[in-house]
Amino acid sequence: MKNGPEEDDSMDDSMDVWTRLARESGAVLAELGVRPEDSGWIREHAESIASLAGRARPKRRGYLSLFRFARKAARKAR
Amino acid sequence: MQSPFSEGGAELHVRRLTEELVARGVEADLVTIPLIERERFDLVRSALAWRSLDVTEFGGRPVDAVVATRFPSYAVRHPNKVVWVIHQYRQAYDQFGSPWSDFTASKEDRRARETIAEIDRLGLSEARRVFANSRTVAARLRKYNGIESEPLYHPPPLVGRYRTGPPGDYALSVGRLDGWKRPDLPLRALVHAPEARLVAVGRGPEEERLKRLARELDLEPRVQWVPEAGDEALLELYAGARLVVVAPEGEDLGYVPLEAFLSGKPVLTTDDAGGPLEFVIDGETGFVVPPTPEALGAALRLAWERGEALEALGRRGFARASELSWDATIQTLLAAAGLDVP
Repeated sequence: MKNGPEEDDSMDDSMDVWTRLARESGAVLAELGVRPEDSGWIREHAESIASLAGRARPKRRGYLSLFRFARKAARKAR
Repeated sequence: MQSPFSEGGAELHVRRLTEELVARGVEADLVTIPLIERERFDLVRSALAWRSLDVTEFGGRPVDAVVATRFPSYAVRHPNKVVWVIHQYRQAYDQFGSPWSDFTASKEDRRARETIAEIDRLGLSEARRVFANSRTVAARLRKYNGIESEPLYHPPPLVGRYRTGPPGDYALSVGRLDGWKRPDLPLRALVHAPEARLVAVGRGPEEERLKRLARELDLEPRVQWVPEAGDEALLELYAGARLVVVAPEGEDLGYVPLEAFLSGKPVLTTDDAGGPLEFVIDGETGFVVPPTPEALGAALRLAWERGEALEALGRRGFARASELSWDATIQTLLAAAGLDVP
């Protein structure tokens, strides 16, 4: 999906922070017993992180990557 | 962990613990995060919030130890963590399958229960020491989580201010009017004890239903509802009671029996009450009966017919509850954290 260049830039600038947060919190979720197959919970979590980026409705692209990172972290930590 | 807009025993407990630490020269502060329970993931989110907190130092000053008390605050990370369990998430454990738990057999609820157990295992197993606020809670931790803990009792919130008085003309019931606390039992018991009166302190979701029940059973003239009582009013009610009725099932500890004893009153409770049974001994400090209106009613009748025996029971209860002190409790907690009492 193609987004406007201005929006993409802003997400790219902050992506490291959100990626790190997704990775770290994904690992904590795994430590707390959340499994990769708990996709509904991981999706909700990714949405929370995406909302921190300042968007009421997170962009699909950014959100999906956060979801991926959170799920990957959850899998890796187990 | 805090339940906004409500103050029960757990909230009083952590506030008093902080005050008692400060009073002994310990630099202590209370950290709370509201527990949101709208959906299952909220519970995990709350645990995540605690787990994500770095409480090892504030403003460059190290924090020597943390004492965590409730689910899921004990998920907090600290190299010197002591847990004093006063509340697990009981809906996922012993209350599961009862009317007091809304967990179903759905996949999400099963996963939520498994995750709650995992959070408990993680948060408790890494603690330097685990205490429970009663033997009942310790037994539950062993049964459901395989975790050993040591019961650590503490005095009730208004210790030092309770006062005694001669047996009055009402049975006192104190507590939130929640279904699992069975507030209808003392009420229904009145049907079988025609002389007895009841003063019920507390409010909660069952309030209207109970008032309706009192009307239906034609008990209104013998029941006084006190939705809220400040400290002084509560002390007065304890001091003026004939005896105190404690009817919940599987209570963790419950301050009410200890408050009753420190007010010189015997306690009438049920044989499935849990924590209260660690203090209420039938015929010694009170009455322990099956959880039926008839049995409670029979005990109330006895209390009205044999008033002279109540004072002796109350005196023994007073002696038992007087053994508990914050000095000993704080010393145990600090020693567990490897800290000296200042």
